[in-house]
Amino acid sequence: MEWNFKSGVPIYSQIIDELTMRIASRAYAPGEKLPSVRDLAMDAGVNPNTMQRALAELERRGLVYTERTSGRFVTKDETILQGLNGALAGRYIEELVDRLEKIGMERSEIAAAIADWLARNN
Amino acid sequence: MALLEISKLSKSYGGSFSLEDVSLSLEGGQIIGLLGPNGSGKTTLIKLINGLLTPTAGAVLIDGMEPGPETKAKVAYLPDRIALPDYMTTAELMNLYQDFFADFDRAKAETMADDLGIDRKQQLKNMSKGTKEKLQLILVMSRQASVYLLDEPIGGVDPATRDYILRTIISNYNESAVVIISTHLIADIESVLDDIVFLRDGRMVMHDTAENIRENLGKSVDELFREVFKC
Amino acid sequence: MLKKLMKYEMPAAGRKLLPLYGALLAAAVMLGIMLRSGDYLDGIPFMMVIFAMLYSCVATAVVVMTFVVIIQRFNQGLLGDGGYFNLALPVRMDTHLWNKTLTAGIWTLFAGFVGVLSALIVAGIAGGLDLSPLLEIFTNGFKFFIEVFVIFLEMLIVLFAAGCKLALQIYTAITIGHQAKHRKGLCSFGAYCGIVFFEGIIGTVALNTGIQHYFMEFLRNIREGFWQVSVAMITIFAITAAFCALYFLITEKQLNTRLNLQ
Repeated sequence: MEWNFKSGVPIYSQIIDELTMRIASRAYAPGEKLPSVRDLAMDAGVNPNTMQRALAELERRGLVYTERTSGRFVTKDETILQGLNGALAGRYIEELVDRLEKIGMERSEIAAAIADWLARNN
Repeated sequence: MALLEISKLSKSYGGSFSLEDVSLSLEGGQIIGLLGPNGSGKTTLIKLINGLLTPTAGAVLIDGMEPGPETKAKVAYLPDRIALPDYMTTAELMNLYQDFFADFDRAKAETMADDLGIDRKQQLKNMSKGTKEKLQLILVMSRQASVYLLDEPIGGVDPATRDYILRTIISNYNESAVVIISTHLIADIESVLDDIVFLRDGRMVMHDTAENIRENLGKSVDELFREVFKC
Repeated sequence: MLKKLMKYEMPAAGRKLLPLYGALLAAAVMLGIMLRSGDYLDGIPFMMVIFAMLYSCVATAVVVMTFVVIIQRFNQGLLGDGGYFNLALPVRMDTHLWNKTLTAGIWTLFAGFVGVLSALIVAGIAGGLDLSPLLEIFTNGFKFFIEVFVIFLEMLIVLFAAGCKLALQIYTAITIGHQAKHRKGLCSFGAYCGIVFFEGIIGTVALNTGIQHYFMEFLRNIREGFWQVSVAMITIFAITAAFCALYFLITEKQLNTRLNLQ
């Protein structure tokens, strides 16, 4: 039932990440109507205020929009959606590079390791 | 005017204070965690709000009124013990609630009883402890109250029921009601809380939002609690 | 609200009492039969004695259980775990007290009823179901019938008031004992003794002369003394009600200001 939340990080920002992932991976299709705040909150096991806050931020970023009488919808704007991929990729790559640099790898080694892995795991 | 206004509330027995100088102002649409070790004053505060105790000093105002029959009609209280007549069946207990509380939603209670597999014809005294607690909870949550006081709602239940209870609390959420949850099982419940209040020895030692704690202190509420109340 | 409370309180109290009332009536029937049969064995009326003992045991049980029910329902329902539910109801404290008191009064009245009925059954069956004393009421003229009926009603009302007073004495004692930090039960018992003693003193000193006078009239001639009997009844009722009011106010004040649910 509950999404897995890390401790020590605000829940609303973790929700933003999760929903962003879902939108980027098209789990919520472009233009699809999102469940109500209450339903999302129940699914995630969080306070509806927290869910509302996350959704408001998503709206600010243009990932969702509200139609007053009908509810919340995922954006249909492909530019934004493509941009998401770039942004998310950047985030995860940063995390990866960060970790591997911590164990002493050089950036060139990291790039080579990635290419190698991709070649072997087709 | 806040929905629940607590100002400089104190309660003493003989010489010692079980609650001292607590002030809180709560609006509708908030779910507040009342957290603290045993004997910190959580239950005392709750009893002062629902009129089971009278203050030694300070005041409690629910919708501008002091605790009395009118406020009790708007306050839904889940005690930390079984308080219902145990020779009654589930159906009879629902009749009882319906008789005394105008805001009781019978249909909702029946649905929840079915969801949890509670037999309508079974007497309370023949139920397991867990089932009794579930029944008490659904009776309370089926009321459309302005203030919900839940004293250890997930204390003695299994994880599946705990999930059901948390989902019920979330789905019951309404902008004109305040929910106060007193518990020491913080990890399970903190994602549902807006504000948290830490009580120690009858005094309020912290009042902040759960998200602020996560953001500013980089800890979960549970971790902070363990730090603050380390033995 | 009071009606709603009593709707639940009456059956809850009756659950333990009704079976005993049934048992008392059954014991009465059996005793009556035994007395009627006049069975002697070696000059000793074994069966009569046994059934007489049985009857008095059950009668005692009725009295004891009435006390127990009154104490338990108040203690558990308002000052114990039940209080966590009952006192959270949208009901005033005095309404709760009325509920408990009136229920106790009604059940005490009923117990008295059943007691008298059982005695009549014993007498009736033992005496061969001879109802002639009863018929005298109907054959002695309408006025006599009305007088007897009125006195009967007055007795019921006095018995009801006495039942309420019994309950209120107990409640006052319980709430006083509740204030103690330790041994609340013992303190309550002590308070109860104190209250009964206190009433006994007042009764003896203040009203001795007055009641005795009416009592003499009553014993002398029941028919001529109708008005005296009524006045006596009304006086007893008024005094009982006054004590009830006193205990009610004390108990209510204690419940409102010094409640300490554990």
